[in-house]
Amino acid sequence: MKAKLLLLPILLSVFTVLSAQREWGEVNPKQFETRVCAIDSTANAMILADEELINFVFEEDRIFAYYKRHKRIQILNKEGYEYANVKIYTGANESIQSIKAQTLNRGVDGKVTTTAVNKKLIFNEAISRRVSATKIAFPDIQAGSIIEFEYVTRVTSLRFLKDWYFQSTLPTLYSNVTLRSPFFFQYASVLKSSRDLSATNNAEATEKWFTLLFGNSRYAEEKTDVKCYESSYTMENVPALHQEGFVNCFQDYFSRMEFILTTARLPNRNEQTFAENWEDVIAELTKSNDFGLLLGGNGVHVKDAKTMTASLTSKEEKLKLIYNYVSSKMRWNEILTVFPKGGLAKSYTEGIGNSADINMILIDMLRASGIKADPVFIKTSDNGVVQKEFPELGQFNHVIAVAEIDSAKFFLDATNPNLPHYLVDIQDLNEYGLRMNEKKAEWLSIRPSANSFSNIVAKVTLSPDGKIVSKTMLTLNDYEAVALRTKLKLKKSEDALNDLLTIDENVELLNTEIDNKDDNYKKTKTTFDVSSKKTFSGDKQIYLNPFPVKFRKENPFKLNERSYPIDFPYPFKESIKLTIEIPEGYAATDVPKSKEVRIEDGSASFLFVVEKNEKYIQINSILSVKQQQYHPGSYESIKNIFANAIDTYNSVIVLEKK
Amino acid sequence: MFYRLNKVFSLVLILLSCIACAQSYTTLSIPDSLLKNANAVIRQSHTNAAVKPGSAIYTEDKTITILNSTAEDLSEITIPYDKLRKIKSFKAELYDNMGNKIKQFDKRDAEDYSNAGDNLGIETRFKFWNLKGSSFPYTIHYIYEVELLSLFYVQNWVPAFGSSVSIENATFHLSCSDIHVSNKSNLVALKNHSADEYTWELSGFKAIKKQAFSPNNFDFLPYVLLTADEFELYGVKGSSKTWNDFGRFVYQLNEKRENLEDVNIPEVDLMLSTLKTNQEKIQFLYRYLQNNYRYVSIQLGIGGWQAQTAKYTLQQKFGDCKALVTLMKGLLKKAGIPSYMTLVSAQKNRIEPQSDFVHTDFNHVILCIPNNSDTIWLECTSHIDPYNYLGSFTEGRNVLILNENGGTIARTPTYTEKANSCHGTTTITLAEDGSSLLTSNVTFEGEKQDQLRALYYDSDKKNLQLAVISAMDLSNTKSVAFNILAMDSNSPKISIKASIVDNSTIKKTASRIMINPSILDPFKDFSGNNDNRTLPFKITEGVTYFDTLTFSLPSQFFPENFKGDERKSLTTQFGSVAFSLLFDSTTNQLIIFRKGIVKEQVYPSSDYKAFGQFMLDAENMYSPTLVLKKAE
Repeated sequence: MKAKLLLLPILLSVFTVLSAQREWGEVNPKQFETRVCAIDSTANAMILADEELINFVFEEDRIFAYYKRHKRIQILNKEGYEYANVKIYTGANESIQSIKAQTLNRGVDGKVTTTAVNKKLIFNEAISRRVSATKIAFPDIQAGSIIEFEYVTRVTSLRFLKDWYFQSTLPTLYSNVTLRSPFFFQYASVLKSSRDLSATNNAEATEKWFTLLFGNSRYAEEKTDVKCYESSYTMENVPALHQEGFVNCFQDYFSRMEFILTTARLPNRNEQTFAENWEDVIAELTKSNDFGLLLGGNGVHVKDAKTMTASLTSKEEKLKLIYNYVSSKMRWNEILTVFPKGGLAKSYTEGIGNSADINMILIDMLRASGIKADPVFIKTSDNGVVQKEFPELGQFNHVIAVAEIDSAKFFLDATNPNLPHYLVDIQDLNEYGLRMNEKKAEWLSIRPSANSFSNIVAKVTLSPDGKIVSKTMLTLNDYEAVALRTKLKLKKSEDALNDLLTIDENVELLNTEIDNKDDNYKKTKTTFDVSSKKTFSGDKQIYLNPFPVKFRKENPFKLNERSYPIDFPYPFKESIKLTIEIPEGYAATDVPKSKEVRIEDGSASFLFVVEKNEKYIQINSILSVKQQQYHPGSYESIKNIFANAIDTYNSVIVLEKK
Repeated sequence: MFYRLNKVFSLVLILLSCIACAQSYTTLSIPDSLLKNANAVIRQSHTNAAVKPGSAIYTEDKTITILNSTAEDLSEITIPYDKLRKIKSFKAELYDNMGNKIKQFDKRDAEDYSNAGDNLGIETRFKFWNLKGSSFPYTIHYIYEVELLSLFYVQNWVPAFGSSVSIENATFHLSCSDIHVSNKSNLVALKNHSADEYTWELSGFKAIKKQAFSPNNFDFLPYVLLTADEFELYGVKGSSKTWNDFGRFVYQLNEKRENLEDVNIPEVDLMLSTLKTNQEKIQFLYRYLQNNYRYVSIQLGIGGWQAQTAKYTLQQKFGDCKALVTLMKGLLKKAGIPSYMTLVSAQKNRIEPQSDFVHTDFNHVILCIPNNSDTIWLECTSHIDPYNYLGSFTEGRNVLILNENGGTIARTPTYTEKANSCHGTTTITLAEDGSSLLTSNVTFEGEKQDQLRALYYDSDKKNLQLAVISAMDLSNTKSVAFNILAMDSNSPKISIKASIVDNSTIKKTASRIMINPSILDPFKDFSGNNDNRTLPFKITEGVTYFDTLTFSLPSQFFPENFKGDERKSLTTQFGSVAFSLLFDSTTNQLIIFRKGIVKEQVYPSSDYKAFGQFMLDAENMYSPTLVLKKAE
């Protein structure tokens, strides 16, 4: 299911003339009778055709990319009416040049009738400085209506064209993108899809360009024939995609195509080649005023680093000190980016900055104290996985630091003040990062800590009427401790614990104390007493649920089937270890059976062990997930492991009077 | 020396001079009593509203200490502006803990954005200043001036809006020249002014902790509501001296816009001629509206208050709430049935119209059809709602019905435990592999069916599956298969049949069977926090559950912790439980009949602990763990 990556060279062999886009307003009247999508009977609307032609035009002294898009959606029933409200977003470097929209219906005579959208009802709204939206409400919608709209967007950026999505949340019957590029531009097409293209065509064409552009004309208006290459990619009958839980990046699963300019060879100008490998990307960044050259100054932070580490000799001590200093002093403004906003010293003084500001300050300070430290570019996990085959800085949205001490590597992200130096933020855990290692590019694999665990240990005693009194210790390590510490900054301890634990309504927690809540380096240790508010005992029996305090009471996997891989933020382990003292005069006559449920390779499991003797019942339950991602084929097993854990947490132990 | 200055100016000057001389931005001087429960402390806040005919100037001067990130929305200053609201000036400073100035901002530092979302044509935009500091606590100080060019938009004063904010000192000064502005407040105005001039003051206001089931903010937060007697909106003059005046203003804007008398709609005209009763006609027309016209929010100028004509909507086949109400009104008129556009303050934490104070703060429109004592209400923006059904968006509140004479206050129906219900029958058997097989027939009514109805047609079928799992209170199933047996379009009612496999409803051990009937349970998972409740609490969704569970059990197992024939009940002011079971040892069947009610009501804070106890006792009675033991 994971999108695969395919680089399609633009072939120069020419064998066909490409079909033009569908004619405006021309549909077969029979189409209006359709009420069910042939490839998806549950669909309330479907995309009949979505087509885009990309070409280039020289005007206002520069070359623009023009995107002409023509889209047709059929509304199948009244639940699909909402798809007749269309919103088109445009970014800062693009503008809509022209737009038209109409609704097509079957007229009384059986022919096509059209209702144009009144231009006054096409609203253009600047949402912010960077984003605008054009909103269209199509009139005269009924079951079977087809809406059609065409717009031309002019875009300044040529290096990366806009991605083309063959797939959407509606089923798509026909989707085509055609790139017509003049001979002096060479684009690479990158297909990201688990589905195959149903057609790929290449053709040659000519376009008239101003001769002036090639520097060999005296007349501004003179035009000449320029050879163009057309590449056209089609997918048909593409199913709709719908979101599910435990998916890091839903967007990553849509079939789509990207276009990257690799060479620009304008006549009588120097050939301009763009990064073809990661080495080039890094080399360029090293020299960049916006990145590499910001490092190594002599700002306040650098001076501070030298002063504060002067007395320390151990490199790891220095690292620890600087990391903790930066992560507590610098507040993250919640902007993720690979570029610092400005001077590092300025952000340092203000104490607030974006992710690049903060981690670049960290790198500068580490280097100033004699530690080898470099930037590592990453893509946060909610943005999908980095495509290594595609050397482009634009893939990344965040930069962290790597420090190296005697070949041991520490990944550091000072945007989160609740982490020790050996953990990075959860969102950074996305397989790889690209290190800028002395002008060289180096891929590093960023593995999550395998030591995140939540652990309950309790000693349970029972009063003769079956009331529980237990001394409980909850220990949280790594990311689990981070979660508690983060909550404690905003909530009272009771509320924070209520978020992390599931507490039976029939018990109450008393004497809660949390240790190490301000020390990022220690496991958090929480102690509390559990006390029943009510007893569940018969004349001769005590019925005991041994798990009044647990980590979960619902199976997070509820659906019968799964279409995507299952993403967990990090591997984890939840264990509950209980020692129950059997009251005098009683015997444990019915105890749940020990069991073990595991996925085939053992990477996820639920283990439940019960042992008893005259005086004690020992219970040990461990839910363990060791991988970050599981194949959708493992869904049944994963769901079953959680189901067994929940079932076990609902067990009843019967103690009978001897 | 400010002798001989007129009163308004002198007061402003006094305020300003106080600010100038006494302001200290250190957070150390905040009294402990104001820090308790607080996420932010308003150190001082002085709002001045100078109203004259046709316009008003608001100046606001605030100093706020932000204690933690939960209150940081207060340091994201957002001011709306449009043709009728101009931002004249803005400046701000940021101070650290010790009161040292860190940064300053002016008008040019603003981000500018639109927040229209799915709405079309909204011209109101926002200026946004981010005053966040680098570490907590920090203090912000800002002053701005806004000019309102229509008195329709005079602003209320709610100094502690949101929760968990303390106030050291806040004042609101209102001065009116040549215009009367009515006010209503739960604070006492300082006495020393004339009828044209008021000052309200609030000092040492302690933050109120956020509490579950809280009532409307206006029930417990200090406020001053304002309404100008006369206003002009996009060239149309109006009055809000009385509800009739305001009602007439909106009525006249929309008068005759519903007219469809000269329009033929063959499919409607034909059908109406065959239908006999008014109810049949209304139901048919409502269905016709739902099937053919969609809701699109469009606001343009006076369009915020004046509907598109019914004819126009008929052509476009879409409209906003006013347009759809107007179309429906026109269709009903064709059928000879009178109906009335009705203004609503929808959602929570809004001000409802009260007889003692006129205001113009409405955000939605529905349609009212008088029908003897049994008024019919139609929500015209939903394509799925059943006939005569108002969801939680508009239920149980005062609304303003518009008619020829003006406006009349009425109350929309409330869906209480009498209307919201789940009732079902479930049979449960134990499979060979130890799992339980459940077959349920359940009918959901009232607000309990909202979610299922909303997702019924969703093309992502997983959403309906999840809604069914949640409606049936299933927390750990192996599989759930279901179909919708009936969905009534004339009443809020959905019936489903579900087949469920799980491991927990019946558990079998070597010598015992344990039964946990936790399906369809209204008392499940109530976790009230008992400590220090200060606010009244409001149960907003009353429900009635009743069902029959029939367990077919293996032979030779007999009750251990219950009797073969048992009845229990519990009745309190909060609700009730009736539970009975019958074990038949000849057929090995255990049958449970149970009924649980949670009432919809507002209770004083002192009852909260008792409510929690009721929910716990009810849960234990409604879904007990039943143990059967094998005969030896």
